[in-house]
Amino acid sequence: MKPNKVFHASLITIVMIYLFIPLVATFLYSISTDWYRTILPEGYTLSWYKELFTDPRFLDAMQRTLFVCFLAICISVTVMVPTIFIVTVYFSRWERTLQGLVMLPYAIPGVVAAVGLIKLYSSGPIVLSGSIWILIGAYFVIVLPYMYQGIRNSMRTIDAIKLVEAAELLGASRMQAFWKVIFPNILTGIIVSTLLSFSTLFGEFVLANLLVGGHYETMQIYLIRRMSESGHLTSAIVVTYFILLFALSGIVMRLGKSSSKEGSR
Amino acid sequence: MSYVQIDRLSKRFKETTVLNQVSLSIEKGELITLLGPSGCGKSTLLRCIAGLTEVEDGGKIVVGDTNITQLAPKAREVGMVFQSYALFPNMNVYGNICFGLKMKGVKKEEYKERVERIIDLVDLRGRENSYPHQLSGGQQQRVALARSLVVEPKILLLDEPLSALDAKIRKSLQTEIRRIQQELSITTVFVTHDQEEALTVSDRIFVMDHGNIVQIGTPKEIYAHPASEFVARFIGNYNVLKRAEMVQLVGEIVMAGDAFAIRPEVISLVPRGNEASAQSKNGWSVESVVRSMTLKGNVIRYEVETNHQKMQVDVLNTSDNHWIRVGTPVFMRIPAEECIPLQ
Ligand SMILES: Nc1ncnc2c1ncn2[C@@H]1O[C@H](COP(=O)(O)OP(=O)(O)OP(=O)(O)O)[C@@H](O)[C@H]1O
Ligand SMILES: [Mg+2]
Repeated sequence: MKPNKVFHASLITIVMIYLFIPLVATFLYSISTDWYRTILPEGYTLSWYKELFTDPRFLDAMQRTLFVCFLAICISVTVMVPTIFIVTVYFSRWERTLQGLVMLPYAIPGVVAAVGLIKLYSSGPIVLSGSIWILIGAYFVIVLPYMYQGIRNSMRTIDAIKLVEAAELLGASRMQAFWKVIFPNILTGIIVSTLLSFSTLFGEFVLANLLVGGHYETMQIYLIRRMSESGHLTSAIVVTYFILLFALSGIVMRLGKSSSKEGSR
Repeated sequence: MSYVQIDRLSKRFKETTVLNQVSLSIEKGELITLLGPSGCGKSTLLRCIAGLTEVEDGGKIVVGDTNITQLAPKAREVGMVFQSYALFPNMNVYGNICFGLKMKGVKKEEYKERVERIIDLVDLRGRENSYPHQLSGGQQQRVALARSLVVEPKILLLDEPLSALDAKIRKSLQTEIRRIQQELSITTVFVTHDQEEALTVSDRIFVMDHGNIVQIGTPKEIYAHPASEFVARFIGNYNVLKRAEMVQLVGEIVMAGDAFAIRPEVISLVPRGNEASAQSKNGWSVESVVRSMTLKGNVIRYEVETNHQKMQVDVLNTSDNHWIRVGTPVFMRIPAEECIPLQ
């Protein structure tokens, strides 16, 4: 038993070191004044962060990204939750179709999707090319699989069909059954899906760059553009980025854990 | 006219007929059980009554004076307890029980007393603030029961309400459900595939087989006079013999009937060499040998073999009977009046 444990522990440590060294180095670089000749930085400063957070371009980019992601996800939740509910409970025949449809984005590479979208929407009845709406639309599609999987799983876990039947027999309308019984029980699932989608979109570069990159600078695009200017600044951006994503995943895991605890008695 | 009348109800799923022109009537305040093997259509019949499954054209369900065949589930005033309970996980016991009343727009002041009474009735006092996942199976069961009862439905439907519970709790909840049902004198349809449960709780039993109701009767009638081989086998572990087999066993018989059912506990075993006492006017004695024994608690079940057949015999588990062992040659005494002719 014991040597095995030691082996496991050391293996995990090595993997951790392997994963964390670049992060730690990036972090150090982002707070160092100079770091050429020595093993550790020569001096420490927060000026890179100060520069970053006082740069109106950065703040704008941040705001844009948040706005686009938020909108795309809002639309996604509003559309997907009722759709999945209705299909699961009342039209189970269509479940396969919906699943197939929703999984399509997995199969299509971002570049292909972008080129296709630009071609389709640059002429014809609806012209969206270059506007942020095309990006929001594309983001809506990208997050479909995450949304679908998460929400459908939580409906399965609570046996939504039986709960709706029970509620209806007790006199609830379909709307009431949804709002009073189903929604509160899948809320955690929805939040987890939302955050997961958020972190996916937050790191998405290909579509953002190709669809609106020229004139709508989102975080990702800003990051790439400033990369060449100063390594320290880039490091600061990356660290900020990581902290945000880390916080998000932390929340997701927390929620996921608490909901699975509730599920198992 | 009966309180609940179901008339020629059919249900097909694609090609398979699950309910075949089922007709039945239930009196007010009566508890009937639908008894039958797995897959015979019991749940489907319940779901049709509740309106959760649509029925084929031509079927009719009347409760009281209302034809509810076309009504939505919420308009039927039918209560149902599911096999899986389907409690609302986001609400505590109190919330679950109140749900139906809130949906019906009953004011809090009005329902408060009703809820308190039902909580006492199902013996959940002190657990009002627990959530479903904090309750035992039996407690969840009672919450589900209370939740359906508190809205005072015209009929209560119970779909194998006890099948997920262990034997002891099952027994006590059987009597509990029966007590509550009689106290409220609520018309109840109880689904089970456990014949013992059906015999314990019902006023009348409806035996189902492949979407048909094959026999209706009180527990006593069903147990003592099964109408067919299927019922005999299903309800009481009867020995069922075709006429030819019966003749082989006991010689010529005068009784009419294509087959005969003999309960295992009416047969007695007598030691060989004691032929005098084995003879009886109204019955037969058959030479046989004990082949196996199974202890069932208060009775011992023997498998006894004659030249032609194997028969099940139940004997009380008392020291008087312990001379009977595997391999013991015996006489099997079968009283004639206990042979039930079947069609
Ligand atoms: N939605 C459905 N689609 C297709 N077939 C169904 C459906 N529901 C039930 N059936 C079929 O109808 C038959 C009867 O099912 P039902 O659930 O009524 O049986 P049951 O008597 O309640 O059995 P059990 O004791 O196992 O609960 C089964 O053969 C089942 O496969
Ligand atoms: Mg069933």
